[in-house]
Amino acid sequence: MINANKMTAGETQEIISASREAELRALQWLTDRLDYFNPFRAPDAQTLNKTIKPLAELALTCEVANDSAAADRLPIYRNFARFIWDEVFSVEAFRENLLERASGGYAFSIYASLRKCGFEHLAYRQKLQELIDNRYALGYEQLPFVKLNLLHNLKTAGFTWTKPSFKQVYATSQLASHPDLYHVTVLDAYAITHVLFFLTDFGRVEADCLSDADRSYLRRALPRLTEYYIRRRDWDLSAEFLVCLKSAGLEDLSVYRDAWLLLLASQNEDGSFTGPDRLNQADGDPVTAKGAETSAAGEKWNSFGKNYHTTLVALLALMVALPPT
Amino acid sequence: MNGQTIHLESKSTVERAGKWLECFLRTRLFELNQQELCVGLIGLSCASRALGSCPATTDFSATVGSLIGALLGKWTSYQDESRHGFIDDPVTRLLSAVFAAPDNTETAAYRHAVQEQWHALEEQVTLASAHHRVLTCRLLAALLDESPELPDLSLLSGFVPMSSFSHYLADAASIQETLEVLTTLTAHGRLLPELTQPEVDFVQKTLPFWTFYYIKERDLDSVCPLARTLKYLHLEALSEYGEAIRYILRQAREDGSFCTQDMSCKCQSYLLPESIDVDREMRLPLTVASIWTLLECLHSSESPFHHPFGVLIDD
Repeated sequence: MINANKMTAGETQEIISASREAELRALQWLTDRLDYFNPFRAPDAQTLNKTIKPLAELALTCEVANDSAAADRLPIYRNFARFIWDEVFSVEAFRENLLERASGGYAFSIYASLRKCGFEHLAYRQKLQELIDNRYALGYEQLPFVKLNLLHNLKTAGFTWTKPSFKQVYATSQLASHPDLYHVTVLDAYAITHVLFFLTDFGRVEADCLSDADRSYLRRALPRLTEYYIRRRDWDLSAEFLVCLKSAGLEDLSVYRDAWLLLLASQNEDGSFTGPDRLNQADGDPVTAKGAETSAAGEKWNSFGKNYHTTLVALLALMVALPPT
Repeated sequence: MNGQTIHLESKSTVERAGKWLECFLRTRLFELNQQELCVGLIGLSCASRALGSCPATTDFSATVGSLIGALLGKWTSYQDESRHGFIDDPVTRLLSAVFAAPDNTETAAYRHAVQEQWHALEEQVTLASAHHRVLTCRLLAALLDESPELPDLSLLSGFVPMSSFSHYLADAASIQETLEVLTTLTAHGRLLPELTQPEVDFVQKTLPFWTFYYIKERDLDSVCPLARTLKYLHLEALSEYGEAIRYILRQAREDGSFCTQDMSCKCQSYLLPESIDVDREMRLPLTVASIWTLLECLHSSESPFHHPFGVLIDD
């Protein structure tokens, strides 16, 4: 049974005012740790691979902020984008590294996000265009939600392509098959949230390829999965599903209000949001992890690896999924 | 799967589970403590009731007799330990007597003995147990006494523990307490409890979610009481109830026992061979919980709680 329970004006106000404070504290946490996003300043030589994903996700957060952040916070996001551009993307070796691994998608995503924030590198763009023209980028075998991410990047960056379309890729996704919720794993859950992110531009546009049956499935599945991951104290997926609830127009459900109140209450004193253990991406290598445990710097790095993603997702939710005032 | 198919599947599953349980209890009889013997007795009694007039191969009476002999023997030989055990968990003791068939000399003697233990220890149980558990004991004792009068269950009004976020944040102990309160309020499905509107809303919203959650967590131990409580509250129409029954049936292993997350158990037993006795610590309680749940949910006319007393729900 899915309970509809419209949020009262008082509850909306409570969430809105708490969210403003929460966003500023999360932004401060990120500001204090910007160097961790810089592959050239990471604490050991293996960190290029570990930092490129956080860097791309920070860039994406800036991209969303460009259209959706409140005016008084936009300068903070712009500073982040400026940092990525000046300190990282402007370094030729970094761009070359991205292009060498273009199949990973970061070559397109970081560029698309920075371009949306007002930065342009025409020579780099030309190289991406070649990857599109020679069909490498679009022909590369990828999971459907990863392919949708690529299409979203191409669209954001203003590239044109003929096929596949969003609709064609969506039809091959797991979400389109309406999976049984009892079997949905954590990875499946991320696939579901990401498909919705890219189809709806993070809840900011209507997804025109969803059928009535899809919408009916989402109305049943999204609240249940949100409740499930809240109960698991998985704030990473809870925040992602909060964005999805908003994307699917399900703000009238009580779980939407509850998810907001509990997500905001989960914020750590330092401003971060705790990620699940599986997200300790800075801690992937047991040998380096063992060494890292012994130093304060190592601990800080591990804590960053665990919490940065959830903090970015919480910021994303704060920008695109708050109840309307 | 339609109702009739699932009913038949349940019978054959309970039969195999009963046989596994009987074999386990016969083999390990002298190792088990009183609590485990009571649990075993509940399981075999529930299996016998669910199978009803099945072939004589499923007659567990000899093993039930041995269990009762062992329980009564321990009661006489270890009186202090037995009294403490009863006070610590009176509900399991009383349930073991309620489920035991009344039409057999040995089981009738056992029921009588437990009745006497309850009457001797009621005061101490009242001092040591939570309020709702004392009422549960009084309900079970009334059933054992075949008393026409039930304890005043309205004393549990307002006892459904609800906080605004317990849907998401309640721990396993508070969920267990909630289910115990609801079970007693319904007298195991025979009474229509007088719940307040917020309690009704809470039950209709939260019980299905908890059921969904624990099925997804592969937690058979939690799914069983949730399925029973949904049945007691006449919420069988919910999809989560049907899924819970199917989930329970799927946990039956080839040898007849019930278990869950076998791979984790196996890995742990390889790593720490001394750490866990899987049959005793996992399969015994899970098999009994599953048989009991299948009896209550799919063969409820054979349940001791089916016999009407108090205010009845129209079937």
